[in-house]
Amino acid sequence: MKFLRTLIFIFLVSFLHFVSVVSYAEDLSFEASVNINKVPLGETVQLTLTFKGAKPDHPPEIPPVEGIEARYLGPSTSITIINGQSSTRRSYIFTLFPQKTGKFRIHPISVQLAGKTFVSQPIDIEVVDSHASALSPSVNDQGSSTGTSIKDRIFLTIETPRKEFYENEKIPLTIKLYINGLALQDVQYPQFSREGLTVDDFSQTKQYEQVVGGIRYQVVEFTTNVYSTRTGDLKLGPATLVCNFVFRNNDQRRFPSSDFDHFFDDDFFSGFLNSYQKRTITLSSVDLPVKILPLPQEGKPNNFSKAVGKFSFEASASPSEVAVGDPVTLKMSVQGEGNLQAVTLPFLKAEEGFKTYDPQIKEENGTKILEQVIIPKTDQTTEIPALSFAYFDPETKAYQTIVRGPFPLKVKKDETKDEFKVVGFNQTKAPKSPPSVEELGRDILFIKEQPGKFSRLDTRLYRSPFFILSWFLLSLVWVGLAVFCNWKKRIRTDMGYARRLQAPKKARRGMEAAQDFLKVDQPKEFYDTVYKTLQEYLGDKFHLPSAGVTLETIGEEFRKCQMDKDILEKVTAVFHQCDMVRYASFKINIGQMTENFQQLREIIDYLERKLR
Amino acid sequence: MMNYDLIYNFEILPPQKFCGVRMAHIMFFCMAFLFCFSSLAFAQVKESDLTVQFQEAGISYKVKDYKKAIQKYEGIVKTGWGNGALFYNLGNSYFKDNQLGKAILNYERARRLIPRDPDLNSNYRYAISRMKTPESFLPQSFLGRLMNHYTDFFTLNELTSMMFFFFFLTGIYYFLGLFFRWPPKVQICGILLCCSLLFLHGFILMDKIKRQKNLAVVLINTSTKFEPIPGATTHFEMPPGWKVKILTKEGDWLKVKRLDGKVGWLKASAVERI
Repeated sequence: MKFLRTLIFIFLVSFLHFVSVVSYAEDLSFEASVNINKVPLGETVQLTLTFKGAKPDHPPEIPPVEGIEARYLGPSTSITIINGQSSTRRSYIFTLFPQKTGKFRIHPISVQLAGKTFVSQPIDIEVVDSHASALSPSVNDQGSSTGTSIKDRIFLTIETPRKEFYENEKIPLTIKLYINGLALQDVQYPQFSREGLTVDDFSQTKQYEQVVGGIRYQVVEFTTNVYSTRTGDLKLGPATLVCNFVFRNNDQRRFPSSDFDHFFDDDFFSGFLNSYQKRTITLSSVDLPVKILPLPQEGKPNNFSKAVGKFSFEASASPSEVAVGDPVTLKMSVQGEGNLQAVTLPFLKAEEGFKTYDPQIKEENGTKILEQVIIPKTDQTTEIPALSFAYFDPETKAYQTIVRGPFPLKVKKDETKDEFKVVGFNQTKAPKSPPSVEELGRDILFIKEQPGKFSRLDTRLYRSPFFILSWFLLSLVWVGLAVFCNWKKRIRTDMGYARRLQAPKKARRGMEAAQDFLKVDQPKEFYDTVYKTLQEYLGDKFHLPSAGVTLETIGEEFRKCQMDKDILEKVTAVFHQCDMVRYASFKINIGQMTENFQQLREIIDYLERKLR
Repeated sequence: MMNYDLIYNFEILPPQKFCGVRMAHIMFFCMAFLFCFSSLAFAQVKESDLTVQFQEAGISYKVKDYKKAIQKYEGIVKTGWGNGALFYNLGNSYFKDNQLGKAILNYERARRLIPRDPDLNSNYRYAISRMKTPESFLPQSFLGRLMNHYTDFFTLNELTSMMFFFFFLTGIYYFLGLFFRWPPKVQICGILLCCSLLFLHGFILMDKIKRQKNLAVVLINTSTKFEPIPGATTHFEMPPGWKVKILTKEGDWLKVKRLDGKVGWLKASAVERI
């Protein structure tokens, strides 16, 4: 135990040492941010001074602002390790108490750190009248009413690095989702109008923090590339993004209906207290105007094929030594920055001394590859002509041409025309001449003299009806046996089921006996048998002990099973008649006996149909 | 409104019976018996004829009249009846008659019926070694080679029977477990094992059927073209004995795929299905 404690202590000390070493090794930065920049009088603002990579010995001092009182709340440290890369952040938190309404500015805060001076950005804070703010839409993650609109706490932007691009040039498009203190779920990829554009898939999203206007935001960044297929003024966006906003249900009073009716309905918030709920919201950015310039006509090569960007082009031909009629594979590849889908690769035309086949084009890992099979027609051919690829470079604003080849080719006469030849097979590996049977001393073994049993050649066991029928029958047998075994097991283990199953057989035997007594006119024995039969039948059917079968228990069971009232009356009548004859020596005629027998039959028939 | 005039009354006649058994049943059993008996008799007569013809072909082979032997063996094949020995002898006859493609074709057919026959395997290997150019194959993994070896060891019918046996065994094991009240673990393990064997053999059977389907042997030296046109460029050539998979047919041309994956067009007369 002591050893374990020592081990944990050593580990913790090592970890902290590692963290401290790493933290000093990383880049230093300093920034100041507030949680909100518009607040009603009476509420507070939280100011956070964050140091990354190092920390000052004592909390920095806030420049005094007239009308706002600042109090130091305390420090906070966070260590983040992502993919083995550690970063340490030390924050000093201050609470600002506005004393009056108006606009205030926290001037840049200057801090000396590791011999360098860091200065934060100025932060503007607006303090509004608390009565006025109560009438305006506002939201706060802490649940307090503030002057900050939800639109300031979550918004979408769309950006490009420049405002002018060439036709078909790659336009890197960045769409950023800014979130300040709100919980979002199921964030979908942004959508925007694709008219006149070719759009790549979105690359991996990035998440980071950014301070904008003194407020710290969580930023989700989506990047893609678009290519414009037409010139002139173009509007990118507006981008829209759909996500689910998670909030506490009891915060419904924070969302007055004026601006956010499309987000929140009153009905939606009624009901559950203190529970989290989701609401789908659609965010929209402003649109971004860009200008698409046409490609210059000056210096445009004849073989230019809409490739705009920065590309490299390679070409090769193999084999370099062939016979007439043998195929040669011409392989070309283009890779680089630009719209590869619009790039057309050069290929050899038929009239250039070769028989040519349609090229095979594929695109893999950012490279466009073209393979073409060509066959030299004569042995006079000495080379494959040069291939050139032209593209427009937007950086230099000029056309560039890359030439590869010509490729020397040695074409021999086809002297082996009549000999056996396999293309693609290495002749050196083949035996020059097959060894003769005599040289090897080998020959085939002798024929079989007895034929054995003949059978139809076109029959296959798996296709024969006999086999399919056998399989089907065996399946039936297995399923039947399985069902039977389970049924037997149920009879063994489920007493109620077994009794229900046996009830009609026993009742039939009892009714036969009763009918015999009816024929010989023996009322006492007849009613004894009827009573016993009915009692046992009802006991078995409802899984009750026979002695416990009374009119009350039967009535209860009948009600549960929603039986016909007439039947219960018949049961009551039969039992009553039986008691009268058995215990009160009641005189009874054959007609009454027949009627009671018929009632017994009806009761059993009804219950058999109803309780099947 | 419904038209009640269209309702008729039918009189249902009782079925005619003889000694308590329906006449229709008696007639069905009589016909089934006659059919079985006649086909059995036909098979016996046929088999004796075929045996005589088989032995006559053997005599022709012994006196080195291979063409006649081939004619007689082929005569048996045309009847639609045969066995592994017949194709083995036919392969031998073609081999002696210097028709390597046909010899390999018939050895392949024999291998489908008697795959473990040592004489056949020896002659097949020898015939393969006589090909001018050895056949090229796509590289296979160890598991693939093992699977092929196992698959080639059995005929289709044997694999089918094995599947049936494992199905039977699964049921038997289940009911033995119920009867002797084996522990659930033992029951489940045994049933899982039987089911695994059943599905494994089902998979092997399907694979074998798929591999054998549309397989053909090249009979003569043949040029395989890029297109199904007489003057088309030759893509590659194939010697007799090479195996190809027939992909499609267009007129007299077949689109075939070599065992190493190369695809081309050749004349339908140059190959024969196994």
